Amino acid sequence: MTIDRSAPDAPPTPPAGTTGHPNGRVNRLASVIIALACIVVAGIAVHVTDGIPGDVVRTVDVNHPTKLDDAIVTVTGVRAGQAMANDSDDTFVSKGMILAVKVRVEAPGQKYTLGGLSGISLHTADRTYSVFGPNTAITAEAGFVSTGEVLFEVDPQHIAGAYVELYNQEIIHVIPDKIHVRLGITADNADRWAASARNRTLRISRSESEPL
Amino acid sequence: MIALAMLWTDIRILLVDTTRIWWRLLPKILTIYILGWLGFEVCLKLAVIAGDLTFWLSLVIFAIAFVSKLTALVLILRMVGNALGVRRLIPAEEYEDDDRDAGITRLLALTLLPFLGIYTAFGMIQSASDQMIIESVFRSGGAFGDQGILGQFRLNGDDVPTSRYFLVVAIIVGTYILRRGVDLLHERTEFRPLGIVVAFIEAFFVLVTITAGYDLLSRLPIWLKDREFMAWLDALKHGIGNLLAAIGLNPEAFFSAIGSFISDQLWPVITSGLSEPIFWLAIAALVYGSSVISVAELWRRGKPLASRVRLARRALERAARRELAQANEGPTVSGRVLAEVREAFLGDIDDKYLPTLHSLRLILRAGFAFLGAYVVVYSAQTVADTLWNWALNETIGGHPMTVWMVILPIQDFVSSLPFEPWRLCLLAVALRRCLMIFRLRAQTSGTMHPQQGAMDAARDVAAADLASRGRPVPEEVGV
Repeated sequence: MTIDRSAPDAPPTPPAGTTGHPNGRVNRLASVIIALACIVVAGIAVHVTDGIPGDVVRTVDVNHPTKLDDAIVTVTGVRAGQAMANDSDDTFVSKGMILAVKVRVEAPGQKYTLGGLSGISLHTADRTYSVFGPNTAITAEAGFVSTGEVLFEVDPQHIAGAYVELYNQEIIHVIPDKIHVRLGITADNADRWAASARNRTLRISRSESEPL
Repeated sequence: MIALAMLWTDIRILLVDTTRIWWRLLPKILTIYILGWLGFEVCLKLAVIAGDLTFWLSLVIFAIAFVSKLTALVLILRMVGNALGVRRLIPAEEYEDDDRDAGITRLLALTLLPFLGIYTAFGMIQSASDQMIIESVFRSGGAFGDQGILGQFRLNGDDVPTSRYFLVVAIIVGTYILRRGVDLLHERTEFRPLGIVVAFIEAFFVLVTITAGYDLLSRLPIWLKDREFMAWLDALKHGIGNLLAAIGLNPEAFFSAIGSFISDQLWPVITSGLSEPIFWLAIAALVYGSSVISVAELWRRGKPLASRVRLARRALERAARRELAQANEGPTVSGRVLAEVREAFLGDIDDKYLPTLHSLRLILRAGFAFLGAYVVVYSAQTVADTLWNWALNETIGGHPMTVWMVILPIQDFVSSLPFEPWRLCLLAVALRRCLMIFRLRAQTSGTMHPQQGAMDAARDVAAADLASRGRPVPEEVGV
């Protein structure tokens, strides 16, 4: 058996006996520092890329029909108020602000439920708000279109950059199809949205369906 | 800067040689890899089906799935290692053609523990279990409940019944005895399929042991919380807090900042940047066998036959005891049983679990420059793999579960295809580089070859040691 001479040549590391020499000691210290730097850089790189969200999201604007799974979903409008009243005249008054987002769901092929468990939410730069009210999910039977308003109670100081996240959340999922719909509330116009909501009551109906 | 030059040399060697050998062996590597993946997926599907019949059968098949994955990994590592001439690096006078290192069942037995250990520590066993939950829910409404296949013997959570501890201990002891029994039968009959059966039982044993051990370890902080000495530590913390408050610092904020820095920043960096690559390299070292590890140790220490003698001596002593017991036939039955039990446990520790620690120790002493370079290249591969998966997800897009049920195995396969074989080649190349470094060091310091007059074989040293203690030296023994 012979030694493999085709192995790549490389400078040998200093033998253990030379580390007592000042140069050897400096070199060893430099090696330790460089190795530590490598470990830290490598660890940060892996840690940061591990944090990349696995979600696949498409971002659209209001009045922009988007295919979501087998359905077509459109946010057709946004209203702001400080109170809501349903068909039975039950009212709810918020000390903050209520945003009503009107969503249209078309199911040309098969029945589709937008939202499911908690697949409808509203996000701003620093807050996440859950949906409440009569329409926490919107279902369209096969061949029907359903329209309804989903409600969010929000803090008027934290609405800039608002968008709604819409998808069908199943009990078990891998990567669901998701869309983000920008509501047009920016840092510049957030105050005007908040002002327009003051003392205004929104009448909210259950979602309605009609054939396509 | 010599250190920087060394780092760059190692990075260049790892990158270039890995890519070169990967490209050269790609067809063969892919064939083995696909077969391993296929075995894994088929076993998972069978485990789901078996879950409708009995949970334990399902768990056995689940463990076999990992044996399939490991077999492919071991075969690829060995093939790449052969192509790189890892074993040829051993000088002729040190080379031992030991069949035990080459046998695939032997390699599986050696590598199962660290392999499943890494898989458990980095959540891959749980992820496979989760995949089974998904499949079982879609197949039969969830045969395993919401905790998956591992839920039946998990020891985590607040309400673990005492009976489950007994169950886990019974499984571990029972499986161990069964494995040793089949192992002995295998040794005596040399019937090869029994070796595979041993590997399957070993996989089940290791899976249950590691999962239970992991759960017990995670309970350790809760147990520690109630100990007396924790009150002393609290008093110390309180004292430091008072000192901090005296100099105008908020103690709560200070401790919270340190805690979150360690848990959120430092610990993830150490685990993802260092521990995973090191453990994988230790597995690769195991695959190339004890001769490779021993000779590397020899070069590292700069004196001959340092570790092999120790391992050899243990093996010889065990063999001597065995022969003595067989020859005498005299001792009592209980004495023989005791000797057999001792042999069963110590034999396993020597044969299987110590080499893991040994190879880990070896890798850590390859030098800082090599360590830094290896960690950088390994992490670059991990980052590229993550980005590839991200790009793949963006391309496939989001879908409902009915679609994912069909495409999930394919997605899993494609996501690991480009980088997993490259990673295995990297392990082989890194280990060879590691061996080269030890050899270069030995050459430079003049300790490459055994000293004149020194005993030139492990057996001689061990035999002399045994003879000095008045014990017979067996004729045949494997190290």
